[in-house]
Amino acid sequence: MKGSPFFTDQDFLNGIRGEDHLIEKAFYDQNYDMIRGLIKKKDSSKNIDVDDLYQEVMVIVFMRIKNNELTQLTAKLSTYVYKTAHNLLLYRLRSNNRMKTSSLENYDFAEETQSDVSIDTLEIMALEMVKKLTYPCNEIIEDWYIHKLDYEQIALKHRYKNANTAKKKKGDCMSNARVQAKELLDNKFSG
Amino acid sequence: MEDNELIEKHFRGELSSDERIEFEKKIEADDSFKQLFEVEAVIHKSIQYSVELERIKKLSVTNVTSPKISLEWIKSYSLIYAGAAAVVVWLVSNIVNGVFHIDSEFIKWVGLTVAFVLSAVSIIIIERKFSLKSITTSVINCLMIFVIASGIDAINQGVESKSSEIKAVLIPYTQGTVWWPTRSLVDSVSQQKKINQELSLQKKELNMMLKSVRDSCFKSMFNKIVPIVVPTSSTIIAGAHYEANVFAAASYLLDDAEITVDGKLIAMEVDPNTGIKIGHIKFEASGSDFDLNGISERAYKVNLNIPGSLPIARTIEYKVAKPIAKFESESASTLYLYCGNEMTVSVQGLAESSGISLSVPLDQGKVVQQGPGKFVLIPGRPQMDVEVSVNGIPIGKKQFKAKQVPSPVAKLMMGNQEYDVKRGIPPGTSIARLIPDISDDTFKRQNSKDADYRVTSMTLQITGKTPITLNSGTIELEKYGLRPGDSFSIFNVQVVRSTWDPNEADNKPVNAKLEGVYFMGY
Repeated sequence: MKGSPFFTDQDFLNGIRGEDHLIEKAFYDQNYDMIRGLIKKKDSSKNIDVDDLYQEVMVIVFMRIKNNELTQLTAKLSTYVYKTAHNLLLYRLRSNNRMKTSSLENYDFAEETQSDVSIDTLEIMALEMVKKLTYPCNEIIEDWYIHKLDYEQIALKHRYKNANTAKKKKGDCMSNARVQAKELLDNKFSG
Repeated sequence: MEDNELIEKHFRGELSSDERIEFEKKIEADDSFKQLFEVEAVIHKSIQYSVELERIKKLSVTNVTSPKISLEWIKSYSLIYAGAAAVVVWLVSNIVNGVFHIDSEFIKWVGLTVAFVLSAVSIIIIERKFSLKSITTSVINCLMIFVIASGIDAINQGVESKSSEIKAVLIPYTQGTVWWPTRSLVDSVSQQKKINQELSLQKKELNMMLKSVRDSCFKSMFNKIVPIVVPTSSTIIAGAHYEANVFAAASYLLDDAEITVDGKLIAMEVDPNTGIKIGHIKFEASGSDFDLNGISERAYKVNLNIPGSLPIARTIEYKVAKPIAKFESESASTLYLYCGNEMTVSVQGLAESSGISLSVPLDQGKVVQQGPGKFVLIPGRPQMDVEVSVNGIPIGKKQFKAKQVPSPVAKLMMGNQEYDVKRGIPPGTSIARLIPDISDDTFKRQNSKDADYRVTSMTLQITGKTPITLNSGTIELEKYGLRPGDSFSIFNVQVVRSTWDPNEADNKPVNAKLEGVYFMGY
């Protein structure tokens, strides 16, 4: 896909970092058709949900941009999106076919993989983990790690009796999450 | 501190320097700690992804399938840009025109240049290059901006309309060399301002000349200016408000002027108070078709004919009130038969009473006039219809009732002393008089000329003796040898009265039935 007639890649980088909804929307819409075409071409079994995968790609790209991992672009941003989608799609297809690699630290999808835009294990595990987190634990952990609320604030927000109750609830959520995360990691390593 | 707690503090960014050192050491040396960290890293990352995923899902809500051009962007930025650019072009062109006074033939080129520069700069900023496509886009945008700016100028200055033309054009693009800012939109305004200023000056001069001429004519033609007061009514009741219109009247030399009222020429004479020659209108107000309030709407026409001028005609409206006669008397509604009943008659709104006259049918009595508004009614019947006229014109009829004069009662007087029923006539009294007394004080007061009652004959019956007829009410007691204890009676008393009418004798019989029994006291 050609570049946007209105925004440059730098505009997109700045807009995504600043969470400019207008630019984020333009970026999202601009690359959609390209990735949909890729998925339809590669996924002959039609098991991959186009929107789900595209949104996962956007999550990876947006987070990398926000974490300043894409300060020096060697190609167009749309190319980067394409390669990221390509690699994630291959992972999904192989996962569906039980084609798992044995190494998580250096995740490589062999010859088809776009090696210059790799997806690391942590990103893959995080995407899987997102599906396992459910309400209200996902919100409690979000409040704990992202919003950095203390127990009293969590109790107030979630209408728990007191901070101790919130602490206990958060502890339970974290324990469950750790079990699920460990299972994911163990499966990857054992696979 | 537990390992999980240390890792959580790491991800919350709450590690102290000592804790950070401990954390780094454990990561390097402790595999189990490293595994715990990797698990926690997955959780931490997944939470970040979860938050981001929710935001991204909102991006997909609308317009996923047509992402190439943002309609919202078109609606907002492009239109704002076009309008703002046009305003800039219009402002710059006018400022340049104001500062450098550029001929209107060239101002349009300033506007076009500014529009093209704005357009080209915008394209370069967006495209970051300047290609044939950019130039073409710039030219198109330039024209669009220029047209909008022309519209702004047309709204600001209006459109010239010549009387010989029936069309008006916003941008006279095809009319020769002039177009925005056109002669019709710029020069016409300044030219019109100059013309307006000249016309304003001429108007002032003409007004001054006119005032000068008017002043001189006014002074020469009108030699008297006096205030004229026209009151609503010249006669008002005490306590009521006096109202009048006041205005200045300029007197024109009316030697040759004529004033007619309803076509009749009226005489003119000089008013001694104002020195103005005036005409006096006087006519007898007559009315008919009075409304429920007794008012008749009337009008007359006045024509002022001044030689050399158009006649001035006015219709003067006035109201005629129906005259109502008022009879003033102590007992106005009831009269006494064959007596002189004095009346004062007035008519509301009629200042002069001399014109008032009364008349009655001959068989009902007669009316004697004693002065203006003063009459004496002498009824000859129990009912008397009195017709009131003003200046010979009947205005109404008043009906009176008439009754007999009051009957007297017998009163026996011994000098100034009245007969006492218990004591009788005091011994030694020589003369007693029978008086017909009138108990009606009103009659006595109002009809005093008719109220002089007297006895003309009566019968005296001394007990045990022959009746004696007397020709008056006087009884000479000694003459009849009456002694204490004797009694006598009086009857067949004839009473007459005086009359108001000098033409009649004062012996008008009065219907009286007087009698009484008296005794001589001890």
